[in-house]
Amino acid sequence: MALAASSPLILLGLFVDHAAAAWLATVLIALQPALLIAVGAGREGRLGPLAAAVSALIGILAITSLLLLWLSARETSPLAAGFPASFLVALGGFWLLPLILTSVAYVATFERFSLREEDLDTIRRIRDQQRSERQRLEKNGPTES
Amino acid sequence: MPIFSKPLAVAASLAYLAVVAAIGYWSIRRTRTARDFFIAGQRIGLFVTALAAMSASFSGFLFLGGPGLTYRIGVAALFINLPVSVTAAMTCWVLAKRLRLLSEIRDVYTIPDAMACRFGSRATSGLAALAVIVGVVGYLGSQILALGRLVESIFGTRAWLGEWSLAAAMAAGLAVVLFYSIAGGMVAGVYTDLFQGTLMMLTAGAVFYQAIRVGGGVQRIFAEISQSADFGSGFLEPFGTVPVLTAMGFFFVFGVGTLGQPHVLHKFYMLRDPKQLKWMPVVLAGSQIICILVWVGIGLAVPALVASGRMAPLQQPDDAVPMFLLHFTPDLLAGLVVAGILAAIMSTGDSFLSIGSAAMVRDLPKALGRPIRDELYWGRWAVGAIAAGAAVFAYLYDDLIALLGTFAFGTFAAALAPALAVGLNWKRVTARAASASIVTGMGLNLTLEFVARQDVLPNLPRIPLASGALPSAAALAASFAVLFLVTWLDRSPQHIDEDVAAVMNA
Repeated sequence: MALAASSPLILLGLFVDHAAAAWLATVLIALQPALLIAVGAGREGRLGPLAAAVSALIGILAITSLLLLWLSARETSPLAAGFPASFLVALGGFWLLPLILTSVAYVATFERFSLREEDLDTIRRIRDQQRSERQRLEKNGPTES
Repeated sequence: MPIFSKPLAVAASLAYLAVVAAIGYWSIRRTRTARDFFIAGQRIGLFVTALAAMSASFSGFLFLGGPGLTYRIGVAALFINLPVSVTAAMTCWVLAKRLRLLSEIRDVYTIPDAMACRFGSRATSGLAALAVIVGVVGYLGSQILALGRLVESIFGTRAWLGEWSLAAAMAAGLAVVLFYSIAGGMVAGVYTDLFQGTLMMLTAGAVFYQAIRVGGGVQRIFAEISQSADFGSGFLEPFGTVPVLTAMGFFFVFGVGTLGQPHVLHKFYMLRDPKQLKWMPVVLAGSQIICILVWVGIGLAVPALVASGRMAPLQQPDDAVPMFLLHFTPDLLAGLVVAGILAAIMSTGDSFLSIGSAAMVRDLPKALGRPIRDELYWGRWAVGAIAAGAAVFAYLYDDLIALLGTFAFGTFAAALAPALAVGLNWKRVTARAASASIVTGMGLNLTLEFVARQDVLPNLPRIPLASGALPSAAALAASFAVLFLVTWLDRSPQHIDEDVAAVMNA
């Protein structure tokens, strides 16, 4: 599991004072939200219609973090339309693109994947069973079975 | 010159305080049970829930501390806000659905309640309750500190109260939060959140426009900062003024750590219908982005104004917002902003008081096997105790609002995020693993923070974190690592109740 493997590596990067460790921690930290979405949104280990969106999110976050590291290692930061390129990269890759991607993917797949009608039926059935059991107990008291 | 000299600003602040006090009074009649007090009777719709979650998550930290931190470290501070792009959807996928469905079948009011249902362990839920109390004291402390600094700025109390100014200002602001939190609990909390969230968005939009206008436009702001000897072009680069690990540490703690914020997460219990979660990320992220405009606007405009000589350099970074209001906003807008900041502080403060009191009178006693009968009555006393503890802690911490907020946010994140986010989605996680993760996250965050800040024991060795690494980021990563490690090592049989398993399968 990528999430499990990444946490000790991030920890390593936060304790070892070396550029390579910092780069590794940076890329892995950037990926954490996408990996957690994969854990939370998956059903029985499958992402179904969300697979493409989660893969795209992983790609965007990885590329953005690598670009930022590369730009920060240069002597002078290039300008784009009057703004530092690294500022625009961070804004686009860590903010705008993930915002659009995750919002659209969530809404588009909500009913058919994230919270299906059969899920709600199951939960309601359990709730109704629990209620009737509680009412039975209140009325008759506990019985040995 | 205090903001007090702007009569419209004072009038707006007093009007605001009168409205929230009225909501508190109105809510007394609507709060009859512990369910009302802690989760507003589970009868709240999408917009109110989303705005309540937004206004609970955005606080004095955002409105006062954020621009102050940006003034000190540059745009690297914005890495606290960038994850907002994914946190709303991530929270809904990972936790909101599970928590809301759990509340269909179990009497869950708090996050430790959810832990108890999932892991069937009093130790795990008790440790979660302890983490909530520790985090609440720190985070509420940052709100009280922000409130004190704001009241000082409004009334100019430093001039006539001297060294007692901050303490008196903190006490005055706290009195109003205490009134409506003790009186109305979460019913008051969510309805004031609705009012406060709306006010915060209005304020943010207006102040962003004013900041950019006063600064002469975005490009001029950038040009003046980059050409200034005080700030320079590094100020505008993500990793320009701080080490890479500081900026990415913010991204980690404030992104992933969102999954451990009990004051936000427990709002999902209140949602009337689980299907309303469909539009939650859009409404939540949208409202959050509007509010962040305050941070971005003032955070960039103030350095530009200082760089161009139109504003004197700040004596204290947390003065960025008060100084901007005092010198660069019309009276009416200053009043709106002051009311918006008060709204941000108080909406978060009342959420903390509610979850903190629930942890004290409900979760901890249950974990210790001694449940309290009259939770509503004792909950109100607990609110007072927590508020007093937080005020003392904030006064003694004596640093920037944002740094105190980062520490407290990090405590919640490191202690609760791994056990909740992974534990509610992966059935192999055991109660021991969750408990170990909570202890690691909470203990390591407190230890690293103490060692980094203490000067009582000069010979105590420093913990060798890499340059710029945040203690809370290290604690969060360690908490995740311990959760997975103990899960794999722990071969003890575990049982998940059928109804809880159904929630995890959904």
